[in-house]
Order: sequence, then C-alpha cells, then structure tokens
Amino acid sequence: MKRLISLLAALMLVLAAASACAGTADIHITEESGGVFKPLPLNLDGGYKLPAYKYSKDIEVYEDPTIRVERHTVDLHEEWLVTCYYAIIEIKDPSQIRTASADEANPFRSQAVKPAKAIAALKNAVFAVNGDYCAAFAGNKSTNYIMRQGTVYSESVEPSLDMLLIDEDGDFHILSADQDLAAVDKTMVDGKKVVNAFQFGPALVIDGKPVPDEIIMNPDRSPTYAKPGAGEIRLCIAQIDKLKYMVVTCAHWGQELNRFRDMVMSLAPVQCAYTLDGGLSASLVFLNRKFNNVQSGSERPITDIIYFASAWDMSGAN
Amino acid sequence: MPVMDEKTLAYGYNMEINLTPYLIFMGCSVAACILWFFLSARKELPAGRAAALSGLTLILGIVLGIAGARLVWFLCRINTHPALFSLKYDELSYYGGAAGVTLAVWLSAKVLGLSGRGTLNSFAPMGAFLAAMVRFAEGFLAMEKVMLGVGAWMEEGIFFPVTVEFVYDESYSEFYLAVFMFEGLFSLIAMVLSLYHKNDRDRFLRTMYYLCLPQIFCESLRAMSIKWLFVRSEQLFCFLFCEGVLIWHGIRKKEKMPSPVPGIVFPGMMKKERYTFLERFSPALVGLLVCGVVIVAEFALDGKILFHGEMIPKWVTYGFVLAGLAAMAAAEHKARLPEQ
Repeated sequence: MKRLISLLAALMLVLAAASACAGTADIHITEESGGVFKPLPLNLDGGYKLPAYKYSKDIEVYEDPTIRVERHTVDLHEEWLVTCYYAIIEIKDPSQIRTASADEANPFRSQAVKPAKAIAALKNAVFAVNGDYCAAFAGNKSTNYIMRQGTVYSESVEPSLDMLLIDEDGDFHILSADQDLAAVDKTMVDGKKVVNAFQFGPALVIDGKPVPDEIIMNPDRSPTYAKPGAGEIRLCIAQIDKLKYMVVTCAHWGQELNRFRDMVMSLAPVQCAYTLDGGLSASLVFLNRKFNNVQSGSERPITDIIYFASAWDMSGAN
Repeated sequence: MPVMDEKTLAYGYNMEINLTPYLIFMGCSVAACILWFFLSARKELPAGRAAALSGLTLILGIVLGIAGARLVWFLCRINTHPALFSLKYDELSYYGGAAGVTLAVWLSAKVLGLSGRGTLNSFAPMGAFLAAMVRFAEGFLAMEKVMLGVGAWMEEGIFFPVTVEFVYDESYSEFYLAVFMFEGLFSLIAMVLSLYHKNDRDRFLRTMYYLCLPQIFCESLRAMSIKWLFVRSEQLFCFLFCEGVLIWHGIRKKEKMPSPVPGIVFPGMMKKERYTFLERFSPALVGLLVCGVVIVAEFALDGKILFHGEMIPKWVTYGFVLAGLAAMAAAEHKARLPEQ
C-alpha cells in the first residue's frame, strides 16, 4: 500500500512538474538572443517583426528588451458581475505606442473596416486594441478630431466628447469637453508635441481621480449608441505610469460606465483612463489573436487600432 | 504639424496608387457603350443623327456623370462639411454617376427632338453594360489595395471572383470578398433581361429595377459604404427606387382589361372592372415588408440584434434578405399591367 501511495505521489509530482512546464509557454526574448533597440519612426509603418513562435492560447506574456505585454482573463463576477479581460503593457520608447488604419490606401479617412487582428498582423503588433472608430461619420462622431502618428486627418471637433491626447513622450492628457475644444491647441500639450488624438470618451480617470458620475453618466458626453447607463461591453485605455499602460474590457452583458470605471480603478493605480469604442467592436488582440469575448461569433471589423509594437530589431541577429 | 487638407488628400499619399489601368478600362468601357448605342440608334435614325445622339450622350454623360457622382457623394456626406469641388476617386457616388448618365441620355434625346422615354429604353442594355464595367473596373483598385468595392475580410481566400487578394509582401496577404464582381455580374444579368425585353414600354425602368434590386443585397456585403447613422445611404436609394417603381405601377393600374371574347359584348358596352386597392398596391406592401426585413438584417449583421445573446449566423440573415429580394422581384412582375 505504501508503495502504491508513493508511486501515486511520485506520479502526481511528475504531472505537476509537466503542467508547470507546459504553463511556461510565454515568450521571453533576451538581449542575449541578439538584436538591437531602434526607436520606431513617426509614420504609419509597423513595428519590427517578431521572432517566429508557435501560438498557443497558454501564452500570457510576451517580452523582449523593449516591450512586455501581460494579458489576463479574470472572473470578477463576485464583485463586478463580469468577466474582465485586460492587459498590462510596458514599453521602452514612446514610439512603440502607435496607431493604424484599416485602409492602407486612404488611412483614417475612409470607412473601410477589417478585424483588429488583421490590422494588427500587418503592423507586427504585439498587442492591439480597437481605437475610437474614427471613420464613423454619423451621429455625434461625424465631426470628431482625428490625429494619428503626428498627422491631422480631420480638424473638425465634436464639442461634446472628451479628447485623449498622447504626446511624444507617450503620456496621456485629457481635454475635457467642458472647455471649448475647437479653440484649444491640440497639437502641443505641456510643451510637448501631440502624436495621437482620439475622440470617443468620456474620460474615466484624470490625474488619478475618478471622473464624477454626473459627467460620465451623461449621455451627451458619450458617442451615439454608447448609452452610459446601460449594461454594455465597455473598453478603456489607461496610463498607469511612465510608458506603462493598461487596456481593459469586460465580457458580454457588460456594465454601466460608472461601474466599469470603478472596476478599472480596482485593477491598477491608473493615472488616466479613457473610454474607447466598446460593444462588439471591443477587440483585445494579443499576438494577432483576439482574446476577449471570442465566443460571440464573428468579429466586428473596425476602422482603426491602437497598438504596441516591438522596437527590438532582430533582422541582423543569427 | 502635417495636416491632411484637401490638397494633400488629393495629391499626397494617393500619388502612390496607380490609377492608370482603372482609367483605361473605364475609358474603353465608355467607348464600347457609346459605340453600341450608336449602332443601335443607327437602326432607327439616319447615320448623322445617330452619331449626334451618341456623341452628345458621350460628352454630356462624362460631364453630368462626374458631376452627379460628386454631388450625390457631397450630399450624402454633408454633415462632415466636405468640399464640393474635388475629384478624388474614392469620393464619388456610383448612383449619382448613374443618375447623371441617365439625365445625359434624356437631355441628348430632347436636344435632338427625340422621345426621351424611347431613347432611354434604347439605352437601357448599354446602361446596364456600362454599370457592369464600372463595377468590374474596381478590380484594378483592389489590385492597389484600395478597399472600395470589397466586402468582408476573410480568414482564407476562396477563388476569384469570390475573393480578391491584397498582397503586401511574400509573408503577408489578405483576402476580401470581391463584392464588385458580384455587382458586375448582377448588372450583366440586368443587361441580358433588358435585351430580352426589348419591346417593353418600360424597358429602361425595368432594367433600372433589376440593377437596383441586387444592389440592396450587395451594399449590405460591402465593407465600406456611405452611411447615415446605421443606414447605408446607397442601399436606401436602391430600395426607394424599387419601392417607387412598385407604387407607380400601382397608381397606373386602375381598370382591368375587359374580357376579350369577340361577338359577345360590343366594346362600348363592356363593363369596366376596377382593380381593388390590394390588387394595385400589394406589391408595394411586399416592398415595405422587405424593407423591414433588410433593416432588421442590418442590425443583426452589426450585432445589435442578438439571438439568446449570440450573433445570428450571417448565412441565416442573408438568407432572409435574399428571400425578401426574390419576393420583390415577383412583386414587380405582379405589379405590371397585363398588357406589358
């Protein structure tokens, strides 16, 4: 009997070790692997190609000397009544937070759409998230301001929607719709050049403080269809620290916007959080695979993404 | 700070796109259409007048076609304050162009003292041919990775003409549904129908009906279309046209043809029997019903109408739309006067 128990215990140990090994499917590329750090140019090109890897749904971390992405799927039903999908992204250089359009020929000006994973694949994105659906030329997003990768594609401004500016250092700034957005300089902020600007909103957290309910629950401060008081699939991008970001969304039956804000704040000490397009557009793409709400059938194609790319050039490495 | 103003948009990054094959194909198609129109007109008119008619149609067609295409695009996007006078290849409305060419044919006929309706009837198959060629020409844009006439991005390619491939480099290419090919093929079918019904008094109207009807489906497949909120505006135009035709047939359809049995009743003594309201307007009601189906389908395709929390499979949704459009085709047949 003792022998049998010892044998079973040994077997369990072997299985545990095997499963532990199987769990470490994450991708870690070190400086020893070869390669060189090169900041990415301020244009619509993608990041450096990632080394060949075999995708597995067990991969939860991608890391190279210039970027670390950690994705999570957590069941938060007890407190927040949702499954939550989020990713923490750390980059070495601000040029690694980038934007791309579904339409290569007429970027950010056409209604052309494709799934986020297709846009991400073309740009060698490590992690991508849908943007603000900038080409939704309808409702209160028909006149939204569009600046991507340092170029202004639409100068008109939707006065009722908060604006997110990302400057050349990769820092987030919110321009509240309380002010005259048309009159404010959107190309420079705190003496730094703005690289990307979005109009969806509203902002959920500014300078580490939650935006009050009376603002974020006001339907006029959200784009058409966003309905802040309804249980919708929400999505936001947040800055946690210098060159450290978080992207969060929730599953299926969704949340009201104020509950979503509180959930986001419970996940990490965010400095700034801004709502992007949610619903079926919500796409968190890790290594060219969408990992949120994958059971809800086909992916809704979208017009634009925000993505994080590697600045580690391994083309010369052996 | 670079700003994509209209000048940059017109002459900036689009310079990279090679439009020459597209323009050559369009030019050849227009030339073939006008030559066919001339040869057709030559059967009814002296050579000089036939040449004048086709020449005038060519000149007016180019001017009014382009003007119509731009004007309709401008009106559809007026909420974004676009410039009216700009000629970007992707800022033109196909339907505006078709309306402009139709007006050009009618004006040419009037200038030469011909019947506008008769001339439009003669032009109907050539118009359908041109509509098909304009759609096929979008294949040259697809080669340049311009997403104008394509549909959904697809995980894997099937074969041309079902899908079209965008090749980026050896390691990466994408596949899209080649909707422009379907539209072109439907237009060719409309052309064949038009040739078949050459003695139809409403040949032009009928051809237009069968050009517009499949467009309601094709517009739904397209990745990119001009929208007003959730409404694809050009899909709406097609529907309004088809519904207008059905209503018009209903308005015209007042009295039934008397029983043609000779020797029983003298013509002046025959009792005139009127069509009932349902007999006249049931096809139009079918059209309205189909409109409802299409609206529901568009919401379902966008994921705004779910079934048990899940998206309704696309083949189910499109199955309903196609069944509806088949019903509209039958409705058009039923709506017509018996003598037609």
